[in-house]
Amino acid sequence: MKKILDLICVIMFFSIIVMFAVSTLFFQGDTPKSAKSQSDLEQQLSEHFPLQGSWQTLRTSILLSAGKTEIDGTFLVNSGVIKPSKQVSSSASEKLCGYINDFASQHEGQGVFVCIIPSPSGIYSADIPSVGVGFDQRGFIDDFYYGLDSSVVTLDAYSPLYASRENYIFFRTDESLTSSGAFGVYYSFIRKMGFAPRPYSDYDSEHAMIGYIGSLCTELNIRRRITPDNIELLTPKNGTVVTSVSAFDGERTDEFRSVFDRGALSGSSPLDVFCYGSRYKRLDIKTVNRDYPRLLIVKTARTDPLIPFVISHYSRVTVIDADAASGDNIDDLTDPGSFDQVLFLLDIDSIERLV
Amino acid sequence: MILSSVTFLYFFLPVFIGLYALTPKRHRAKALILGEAVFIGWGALPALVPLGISSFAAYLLGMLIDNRRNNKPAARRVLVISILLELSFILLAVLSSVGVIAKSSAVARAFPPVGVFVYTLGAMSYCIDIYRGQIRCDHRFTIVAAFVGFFPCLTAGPLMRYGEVQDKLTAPEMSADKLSRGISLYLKGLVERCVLSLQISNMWTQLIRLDISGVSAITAWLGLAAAGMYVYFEFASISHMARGVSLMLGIETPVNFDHPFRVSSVTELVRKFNVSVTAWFIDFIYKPIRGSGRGAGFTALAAIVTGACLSLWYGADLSKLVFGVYIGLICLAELAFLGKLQKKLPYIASMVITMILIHIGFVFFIVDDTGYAVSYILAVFGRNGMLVDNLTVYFFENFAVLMGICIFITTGLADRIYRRLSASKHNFLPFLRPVWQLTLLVLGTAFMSGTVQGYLGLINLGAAG
Repeated sequence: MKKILDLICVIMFFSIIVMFAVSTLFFQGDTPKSAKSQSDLEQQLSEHFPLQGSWQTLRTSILLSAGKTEIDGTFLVNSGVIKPSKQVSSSASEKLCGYINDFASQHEGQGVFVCIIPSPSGIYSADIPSVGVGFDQRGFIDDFYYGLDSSVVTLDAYSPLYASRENYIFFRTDESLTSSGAFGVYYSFIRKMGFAPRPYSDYDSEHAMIGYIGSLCTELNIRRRITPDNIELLTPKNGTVVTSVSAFDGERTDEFRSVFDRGALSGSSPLDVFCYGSRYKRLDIKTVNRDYPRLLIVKTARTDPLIPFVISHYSRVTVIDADAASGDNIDDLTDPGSFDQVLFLLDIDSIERLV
Repeated sequence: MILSSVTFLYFFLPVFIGLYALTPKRHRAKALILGEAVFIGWGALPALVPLGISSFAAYLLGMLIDNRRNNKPAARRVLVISILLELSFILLAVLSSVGVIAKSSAVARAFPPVGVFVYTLGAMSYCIDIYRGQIRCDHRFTIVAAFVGFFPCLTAGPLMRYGEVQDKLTAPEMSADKLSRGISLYLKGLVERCVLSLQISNMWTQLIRLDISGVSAITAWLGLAAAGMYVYFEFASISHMARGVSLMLGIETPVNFDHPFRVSSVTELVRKFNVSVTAWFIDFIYKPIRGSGRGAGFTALAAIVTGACLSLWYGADLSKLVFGVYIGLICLAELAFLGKLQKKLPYIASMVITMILIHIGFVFFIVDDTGYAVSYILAVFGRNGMLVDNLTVYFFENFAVLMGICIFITTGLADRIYRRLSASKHNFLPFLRPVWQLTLLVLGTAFMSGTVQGYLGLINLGAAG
């Protein structure tokens, strides 16, 4: 009997591992290609390993069942998850500062504005255990603004977000601003850009998607102990000001009628509903406002929910996505001299990546 | 290659075991050499050069020593050459790991953290054992090379002695029983490494990222317990995996972790922790220095030097050296007077004292910064003036279950229950073995896939990271 059981064990073990090995090599879409190094090959094998999502779900479920509130550096906080931001290196900060200062000196007649959006871990640092608190984002943003020339106007997003921290300002399962959070930031900074903000009552709230699970939870397959998000769109009560949106992806241009891409809600990245996410390098947005100023925005994906509020004050807004256009210069995509104002709208986590 | 990686488990292992099983018994040593070449060469091909030199030197110098067995001074001269060669390899590996030799250089690539610290000791012990007349040299190069570079043990042991495995290497016998037991042992090690060790190390790394002056005493104690578990599972898991793979290959190696946390003295713990490595250092460093009838001074010197060398084997830095000397001094104290006191105490009390003493030492073992280690130990004894803080609750909430499992295993409770069930009249455990193995495989894979497995986090840290 023992021999039979031993044989069962051996056959079962080797059958399973051979099955997975064969599946990895031949049945996971594109087969692992020739690798440059051993680590490349190991990476490819790991990426092609079958049932990745299921393994991750199992792992997460076990850890959550064992009482863990932190999975791979992401913390479960207030029915949502927060991933602490990494410290931005001084070299990255100085480089970006230098770039913006150079840009401002080259475009002296224009108003150049900078707004750094903090991440949820900066606003909710008090709710994260001290082992997970990343770095002092308020201090970093202040230092960064201090390094900018006086010709560059700085816009404070930290204070309005911190003041509204009890509200639904960030998605619980993602790191992006919600429409409410974005409105708070817009309301706070638009005066500094020379306009009176439109009140909240001017907008209609539309629950575009209920039960959204953001990228942070999707990566770790966390489904328990969180409350899924709602994607809310705030649209002007008097009708949209947008007349056309031309979206250029580097090769071709698509034409749209709205800054909201409702088709994205049924896709894999529902947050692309705000200004098409990072799918396009440049968006040229025209509005019904005639003889209003023109604005150039250089933004990152997490700041997208802010843009629909800002555009109502301009006749034309060109939006350059810093991630999609990472290999290009601003001059390659548009003529910055043709705008009255330029706004650098960046989230804090993108700084390290952009420079 | 790492024993706890998808590449090893799902690709290397089935292919190699398949080839090995098809190879006639008398040629299996050659298959082992092929295995060690892939295992070591996988990370860096240049690493095969020192391994080849070490194996060939052991073979050649071993024969020369054996030929001069009636002429001790001449044999000793050859032995010195052999030891110097192996020590020079260790030195180069240490210099590479601490960054004295540029990591991109050919020398650094030839001496990666995995392997050098094991095969050099194997080659040395082979020559020393011949010199001492405990074994005769082997004229078959393949057997000597298979012994020196026996790949399952190359990460962190167990260290084999030639006399113990010569016959097994000559014609390794595979069987369903050995394969099945080997699979169980390997999977046990895999889960210990991927689940317990990595998760518990997470607690420790979270803690030491903080400013230690703000940590309360109970949190520091919890961290200390985590440090101990981390050290235990980091080495025990590698040892279990190595023994498991060896068993699959038909080569049985002795128990290397004999419940080191179920002891009543530090001396006992040292003997039971990574048994084969400790035995090597006792045999080749402690005993020669202490000699016979040389007096207490030499015993003290031997204990401290052995402790220092043993700790430096785990990693070349000041902090580990402090750990080694600290352990050596405690062993001496136990030999002189503490042992008698411990015997008078109840077993549980001696065990608790031993655990406290060793865990304090583990802080030096884990951290590179000696100053930080001292600050940490002061925090353990309440220097920061706080008994509990928010982190205490956080750590309890997050790691209580994990710590419970670790304590259940390390104190031998799990083994005791297993033995009791095995001895019962209606022993149903063998029937559960397939289910148990499947569970471990699923668990190990879940925690292994999608993550990048590093080499041992604690051994030869500079390069292993």
